[in-house]
Amino acid sequence: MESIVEVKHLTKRFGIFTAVNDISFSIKEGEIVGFLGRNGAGKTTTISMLMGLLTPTSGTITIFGNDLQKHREDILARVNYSSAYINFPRRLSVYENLKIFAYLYDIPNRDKRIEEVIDLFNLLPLRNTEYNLLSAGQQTRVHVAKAFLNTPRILFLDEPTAALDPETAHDMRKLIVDMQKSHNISVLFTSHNMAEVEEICDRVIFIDQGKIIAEDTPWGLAGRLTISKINLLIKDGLKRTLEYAQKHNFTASQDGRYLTVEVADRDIVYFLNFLSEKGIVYQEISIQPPTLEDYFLQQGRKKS
Amino acid sequence: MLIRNFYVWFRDLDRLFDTFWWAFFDVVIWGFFSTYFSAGGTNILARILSGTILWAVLARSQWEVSASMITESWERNLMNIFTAPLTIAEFLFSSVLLGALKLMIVFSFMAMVTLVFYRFNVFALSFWIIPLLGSLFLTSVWLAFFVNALVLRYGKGVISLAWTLIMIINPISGVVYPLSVLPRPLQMVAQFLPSSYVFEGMRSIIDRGTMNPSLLLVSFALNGVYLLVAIFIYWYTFKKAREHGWLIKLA
Repeated sequence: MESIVEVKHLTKRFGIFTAVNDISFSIKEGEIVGFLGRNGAGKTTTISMLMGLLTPTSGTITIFGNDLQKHREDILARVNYSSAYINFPRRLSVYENLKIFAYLYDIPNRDKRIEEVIDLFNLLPLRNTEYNLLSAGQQTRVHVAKAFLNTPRILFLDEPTAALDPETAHDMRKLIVDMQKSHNISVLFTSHNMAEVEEICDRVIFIDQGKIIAEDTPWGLAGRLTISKINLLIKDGLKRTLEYAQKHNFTASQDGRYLTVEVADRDIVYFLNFLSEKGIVYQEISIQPPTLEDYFLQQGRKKS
Repeated sequence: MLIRNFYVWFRDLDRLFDTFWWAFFDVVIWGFFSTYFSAGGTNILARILSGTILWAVLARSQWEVSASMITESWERNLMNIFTAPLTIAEFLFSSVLLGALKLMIVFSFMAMVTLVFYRFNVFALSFWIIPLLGSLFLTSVWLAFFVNALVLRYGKGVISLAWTLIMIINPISGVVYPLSVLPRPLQMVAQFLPSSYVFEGMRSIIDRGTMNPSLLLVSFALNGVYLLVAIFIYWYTFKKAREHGWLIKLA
């Protein structure tokens, strides 16, 4: 697969503060890349540079083989952006808002394309409704609909489902993935919802304090952790189990009779043997392998 | 609630303007006006109404040119606009067109109101009205560009400058009184203001039916210089806004 975004040695300084520090990565055609990091890690700064809103201090951004600084308008015509943190003009209807962007992106057969997008994103009942009268979920659908108006080759999505309830977020993710696959669109996707990232991203780039600290598939990153969680509902033997965990330096958290013990993969069999040999009585047991969220939290603990 | 409002009173530019700015200019402008008319004057209605109309045209079209960027910032739509393939020149050009449209609407509306309410016909200024309006429009454009550059640089905290900064030029433009009423130092400052020539020309037309074309020439020449400077300031500030992240903060 060809790379359509190439970022090389990208740095951004604001005075003495370095927000993005010599990062390099690429995005391939048709790929969904998750761009993760804590608040203040440098995600928004990086995306702002990719969208031409912010000039890099050094480094290059090449999109479709062209330097973004020199070919900004040409590149932006084939790119689009959506974020949970921006709005549209409140007094304009859904249709009017989409029409303005259809003009801005100089889309051929404007009216036809607007109607297609309205249909694809189930916005027909809301077509003539003012933007400020829409719910958060409906507004998000309009944001994402606008992002697909010009059938972009690259889409930058900044926490697109942040304001949504789980069911609506799930529907939105499905819509994004369906549209992405049908048009082979490359996506750079930021989110704080690790489950969402695991669900849809082909690859994840993890940034912290302006530097890329990891780059892998979601399960590849999670697999770097060797600690699993064993969840138990203990009927008898809670105290003995806690003592065992403490003795072997396993992290344990308790909520009534529910116990979660973090155990290194190599020690799981010994822990299970202990439960059996000591006659610990439990009603429920589950072993949860490490997730992307666990990796994210571990990175946070390392920094603090 | 008193404490809550008191905390922001002296930190909020809007509050400060509301408390001091308007009060100051009300007193200054009406003070000069009273000084002039207490010494006796002719064609009072024509002078006041023509001045009011032309000033409103200047102020409203300046606000309209400024509003394009400011309302996008208020609506949190600025990022959508500047991530589209729109050049800054196209953005500014559309703002200027909106300002021109606003000028024509405001002028027509006020002309109609003064005719109906006071039987005053602003078109008594004859064909001169066109270059007078043209000069005022150019003034509104460079002022708006300058204000928007300030907003880009200093952010939402100074947005109120979009409708307040123009008041600085009101007293020294001689909107409803001649410049001779002003103290000498202010008269010298007025010489560098394109709008002062417009209002002097307006009074000349009202009193004598004609005006010296050199007034307009000087006005347009000054507007030309200031427009070029304002365009450069805006372009440079926008470049810096992208370097320093001011655009994202505004968005």
